Amino acid sequence: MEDGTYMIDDEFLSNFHMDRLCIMHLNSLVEDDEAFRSVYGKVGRQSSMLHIMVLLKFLVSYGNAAALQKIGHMMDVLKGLVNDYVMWACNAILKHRDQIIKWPDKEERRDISGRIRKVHGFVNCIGVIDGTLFPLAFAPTVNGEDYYTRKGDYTIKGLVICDDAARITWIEV
Amino acid sequence: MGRDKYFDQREYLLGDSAFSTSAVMIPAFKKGHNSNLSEEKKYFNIKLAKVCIKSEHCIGILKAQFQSLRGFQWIIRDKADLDAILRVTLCACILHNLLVEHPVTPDWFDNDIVELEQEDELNQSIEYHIIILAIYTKFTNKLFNNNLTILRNLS
Repeated sequence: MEDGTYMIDDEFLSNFHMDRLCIMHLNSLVEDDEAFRSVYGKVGRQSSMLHIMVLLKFLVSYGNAAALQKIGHMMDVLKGLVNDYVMWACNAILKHRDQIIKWPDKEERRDISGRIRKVHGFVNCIGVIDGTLFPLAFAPTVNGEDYYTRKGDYTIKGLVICDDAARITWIEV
Repeated sequence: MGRDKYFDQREYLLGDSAFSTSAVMIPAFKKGHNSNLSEEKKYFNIKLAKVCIKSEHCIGILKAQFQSLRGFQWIIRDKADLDAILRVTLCACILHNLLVEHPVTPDWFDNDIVELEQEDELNQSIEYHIIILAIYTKFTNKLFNNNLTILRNLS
């Protein structure tokens, strides 16, 4: 039940926007993390898998589907626990941040500029920068004016630098 | 400043006209109040847009794959809530990076999407997200394994 084996592959893909193998690999990356050790007596692979599935389900659902109740019901987790599950899994993954989102070193920069030069003709360019907005569904109750945008939404602002393969090399939120 | 740490000589970033020019930043030319751009500047902007499309792809893919980034169902009551949202966002970015393939230029770089990209982020239609996602899922999933193997060897 906990590792999602009851779902067929297509269901799995539409629920988590990733196929099963990906999640297995992701799980093997973080399963040793101590964030999963102290959780209600459940230890080991099964429980970390469940954490990751809850996190992914949370990340891929938009609007009403992201209600904690719905996710909890689907994953057979208590509604109040969903939030904790998301944060625990999140913390475990965030520990790998420096290895995954990193500024390219000298050689990588040379590779990137080489590829951009070949395709687009810009010499020595090592990345593209752009800002983006992550909208909030509800207005914040404190400091609301800091989140307000010219479009009338409340958002969190992000600044992203990525390379020619759409890989993020820098993010600031 | 840490400029030397991040940039070699003559290396720079490209961006759209929202950014200002500096030693490491080359933005697009802006149109003045009542003057139009010269032909050369227009040509440059078009060339630039073709590179900058990558950053739009990047954000488009990120938001298509992790749809909760398009609207957090979370009320910010204090600093801890804000922190939680930021962590979740970063987490999505990490997963995004794991899903991106390393060397090959993907073939979703075509002109139909370029036009859709011109719209503002918030107005992007759902159909557009679905197009990107469909093209994208074709090649991401199997690459995930490679990325993770590399990562595990590193650590």
